[in-house]
Amino acid sequence: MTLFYTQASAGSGKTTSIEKDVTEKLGTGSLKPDEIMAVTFNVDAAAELKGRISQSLLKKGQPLLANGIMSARVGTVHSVFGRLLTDFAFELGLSPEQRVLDDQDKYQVLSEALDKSINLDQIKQLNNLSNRLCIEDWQKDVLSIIELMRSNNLVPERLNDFADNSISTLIAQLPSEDKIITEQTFEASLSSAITKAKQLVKPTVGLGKAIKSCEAILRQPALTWQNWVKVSKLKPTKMGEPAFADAMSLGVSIISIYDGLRVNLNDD
Amino acid sequence: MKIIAGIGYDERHPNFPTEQLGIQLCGEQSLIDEVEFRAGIVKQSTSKALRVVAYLKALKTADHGNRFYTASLATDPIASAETLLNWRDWAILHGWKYDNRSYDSGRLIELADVETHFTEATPSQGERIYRILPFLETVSTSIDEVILHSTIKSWPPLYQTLFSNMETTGIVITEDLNTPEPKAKAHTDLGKLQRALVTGDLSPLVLTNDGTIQLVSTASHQFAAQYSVQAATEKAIIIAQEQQHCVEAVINSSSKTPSGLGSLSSSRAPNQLLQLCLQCAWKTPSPKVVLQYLTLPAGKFRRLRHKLAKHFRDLPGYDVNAWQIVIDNFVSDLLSADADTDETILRQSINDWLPISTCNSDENMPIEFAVSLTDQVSSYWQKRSISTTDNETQEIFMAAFSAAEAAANALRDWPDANISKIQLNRLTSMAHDLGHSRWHQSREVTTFDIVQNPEAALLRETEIDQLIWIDPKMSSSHLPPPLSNSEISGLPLALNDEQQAEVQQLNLIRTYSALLRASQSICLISIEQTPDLLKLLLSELIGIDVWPNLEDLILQNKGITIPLITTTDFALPLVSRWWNIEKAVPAPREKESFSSLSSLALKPHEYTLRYPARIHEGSINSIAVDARLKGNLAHKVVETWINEQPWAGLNIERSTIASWLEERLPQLIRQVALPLAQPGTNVDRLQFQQLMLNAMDALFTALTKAQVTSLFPEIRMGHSGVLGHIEGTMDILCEFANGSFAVIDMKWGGYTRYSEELKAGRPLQLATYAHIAEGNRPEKLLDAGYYILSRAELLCTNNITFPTATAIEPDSPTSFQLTWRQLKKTLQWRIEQLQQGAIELTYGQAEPDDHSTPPENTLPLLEMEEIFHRKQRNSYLKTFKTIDAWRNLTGNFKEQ
Repeated sequence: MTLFYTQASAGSGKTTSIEKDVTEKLGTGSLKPDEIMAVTFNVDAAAELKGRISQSLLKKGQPLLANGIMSARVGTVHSVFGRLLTDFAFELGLSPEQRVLDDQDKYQVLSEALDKSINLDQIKQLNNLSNRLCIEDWQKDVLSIIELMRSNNLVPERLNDFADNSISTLIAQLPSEDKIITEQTFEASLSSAITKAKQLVKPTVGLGKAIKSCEAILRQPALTWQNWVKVSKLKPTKMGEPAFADAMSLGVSIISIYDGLRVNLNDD
Repeated sequence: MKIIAGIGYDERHPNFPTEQLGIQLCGEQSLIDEVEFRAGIVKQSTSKALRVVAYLKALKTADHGNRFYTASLATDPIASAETLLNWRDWAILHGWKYDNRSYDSGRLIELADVETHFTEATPSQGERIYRILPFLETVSTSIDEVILHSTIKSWPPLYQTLFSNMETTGIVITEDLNTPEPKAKAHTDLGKLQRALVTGDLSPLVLTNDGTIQLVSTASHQFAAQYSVQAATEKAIIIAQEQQHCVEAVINSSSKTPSGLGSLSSSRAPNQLLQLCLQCAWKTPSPKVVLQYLTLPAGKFRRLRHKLAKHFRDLPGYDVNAWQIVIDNFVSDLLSADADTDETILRQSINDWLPISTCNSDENMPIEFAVSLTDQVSSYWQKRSISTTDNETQEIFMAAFSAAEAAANALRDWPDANISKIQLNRLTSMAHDLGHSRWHQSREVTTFDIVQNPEAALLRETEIDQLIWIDPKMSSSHLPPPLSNSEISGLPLALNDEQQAEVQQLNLIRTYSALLRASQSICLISIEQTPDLLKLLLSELIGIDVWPNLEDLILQNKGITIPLITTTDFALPLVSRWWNIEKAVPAPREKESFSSLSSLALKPHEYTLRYPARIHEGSINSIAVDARLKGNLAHKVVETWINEQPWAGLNIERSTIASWLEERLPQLIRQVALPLAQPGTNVDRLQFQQLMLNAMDALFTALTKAQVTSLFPEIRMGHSGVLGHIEGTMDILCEFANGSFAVIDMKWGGYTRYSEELKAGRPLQLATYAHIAEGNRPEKLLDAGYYILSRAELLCTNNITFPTATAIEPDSPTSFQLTWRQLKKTLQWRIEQLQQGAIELTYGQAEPDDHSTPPENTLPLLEMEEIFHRKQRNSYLKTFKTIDAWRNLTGNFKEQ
């Protein structure tokens, strides 16, 4: 088989060149309509290509060939390969009724697949991790990973390598583990900071805000990554700095050494 | 007798087609019917669904595990069987098995094995022709001549064999192509086009744009139908190949004359009954399907189903006890209206027609069960069609009966004991596909004709002034299935590439022949953008690449005109702050609730429209996993817990709540939140479960620390006063040892809103409930608060009563009693306004005026409205709420 490759900028005549080439070959009989496969990026481009070839043939007085082009494999990636899947459904062991999923269907299919492939405990663990990392919908992230893998032609077996690599890269960015610093010590430090701050006479507005922020964090059922960062960036004004110093310093450390996060990452 | 046969003549004909004594008009299917009848062969009629199931059985029997179709058949039995049956029928029509020149090759060898097991089903089109051939001598005694309106080469090859065999028995076969002469005057654009089509000269025409040819496009079938019907003159003909119900809808709305065009549409309510009934029966039916079934305007007990639908919209689930109350009331009404009604039979019938969750599985339905439901629907439509006298209705009911009967028969023949959801849906959809001309009935619709195929347009005897064609395209032909060249080589009647192209060319000529019949004008409305040879040919001749948009042409008045109703110009009414009507608006009503009173105080126009005027937003609600659904479910969960675990004032272990939720939540979800039980909702469900665990844990801790001695969920109370009788349901009423009490109102979200309410000293709901509760109980109300479930946080104005509550101190000293007094005075002021017929339109575009300022000691209405508008203007947080959390996070990292 001889391959011809054409690269040219937009508007330089690639479609015209294909149109001429195909029309000529069809006219001489060296090409049959069912031997053509042309793939375009969008529906309009496919319709235009098909239309232009047919019209060229009509102009040349070859209506039969123009007719043939109508059933040729010319279309978008979806339509051409969708038709191939349908035509060879039995060889592939697929249902002969294939349809392209829209974004909503895709999400639904993924959700149902996840229901079947991971157990409830695993889902709870992932929910827990995503809450801590403030990820609103982790299923969407899974879907985008799947789509990226598919578009880059990566096999599922490589996914574990990617995950390991990603986790180890993240962990490598974190400071070394310190078993003494835990979520409990962080919470205790926050409580202590609030108590000390509340004892200060005539607190500044900034200090008042810092107290309220920390109280709100402590009221939450579980601490999130965002909370830790928020504490590290508190601005309790000069008056409150001594009271909040320990909590603020722990706020940065706890992100990296929090054992729950490591457990989650290593388990997955 | 003579037969006139033409491709495309099976479908709808013009109002007055060729009528000659002793002449029968036939299409492909009806020709076989007619010849079979003349040959004395009894027509076997089976539904497509039954044939497919019979073929599926044959495929399974022949499947030894290594067939080319084995894997596909296991993946999707009905779609595989339907596809392979189409291959088989096409192959037979091209000589397979019956022609002694045929041989099996490739996959056809395996399909030949299947044939030995496919014996009971009705014959295909090709088999029927082969069955006729030996009886043609008999046929020739009653049929003298067959006049072909379509050239013999355009008929499928086996038909050509039939015609040739007929000729040998003395039947005269004549080609009379019914190709009309150009009817338009030669100098007009249309005349030029018609002549070019006849001569086959495809050079671009020189046209004058005299308006006789209109090639336009639109994306909407409805709009195309609307334009076509409005533009059609008395001598027009409309060709509508698809979506005929759109044309019918327009005709019905304009002339009220039933056209029958959409009678058999599967979207019709009677045709929906079977599918919805079956889909509701799955263990976990889709809430959308249940709502569709409950509101379907077809089937038995419509009134009862509508009542249940009202309940279902609020709490989308199957709560047997709650439903039973509605059913009991319905039965009691019926019995009081007709004492002779047998209650047992009535209740049984209701039970039969509410098949919600009656199947024990979501994967497989027992065939016997599916058959009994299908039989029930079939029998219902049969009885309805017998008892109906109106022809149109009878036809619709008969179609529904026929589909249900076909589905029932196919299910009876199903090869397994169970059927999956997808296969059942496929089967019932297939049963509604009634096929060729089974219910064909040509009805006069209006002064102009509507036909389905362009070929049928040629059958009109009278002149056609105007031809309107919705979505013109080439007539379809028998396209080959994806068989390989070697497989096709064993089919003696299969066409080679050149022959296929020639047939397509003949199709094209046949298709555009309709255009020649128009004497004044043609209007072709393209809808699909896919390339089509007919459209390309016309574009080439007329010299336009893109067909202009119909909507634009009408709006710009460019050559396309439609009858318009002239309206007088008028300005939109100015934005106003008040409606002044001459009548007093009745307020308050006999019974009011917090929500109605709140509406009366803050948005009197909404109160007026909703309550005295009884104008509602409508009942089309989305049933989705949203805050409303979660809130309702959370209320149910807390209520159930309190009812099941009497409050002892002791600490409750988190693990106890966790195990209880694990066990009870799935049941409660089925009762009131079906969307959370759907496939693919495990993540949402477990997130909800986790939030509820946190919420209940924190709530019970708050109650324990507050030393609550008794708990009462969902307590309904009422209190009468100067504003009439006010009723309210307290989510949780807490009682303390000394008899004093507190009220908690649970909310799923709205943390900021309720915090702001408390801070501003305007917790209107709590103040109203406090007023009602204090009017009912002699003991003291200690406190009231909002419990935000999604954050597991109790919001109060202090934490004296509830030590773990988040105390939000009001900006200025206040109390529930003071807030209630302000609300009461505001309401009295509003009531006075309404009695004078003055209704204020608040929270809109019009600025408040002098009359908008309420008297002293009322709610600061203007300030509240201003705060609302300010928030609306600052929509940054609303739009970027999610991103904002990340901005904070990533921003911090950047700074490090």
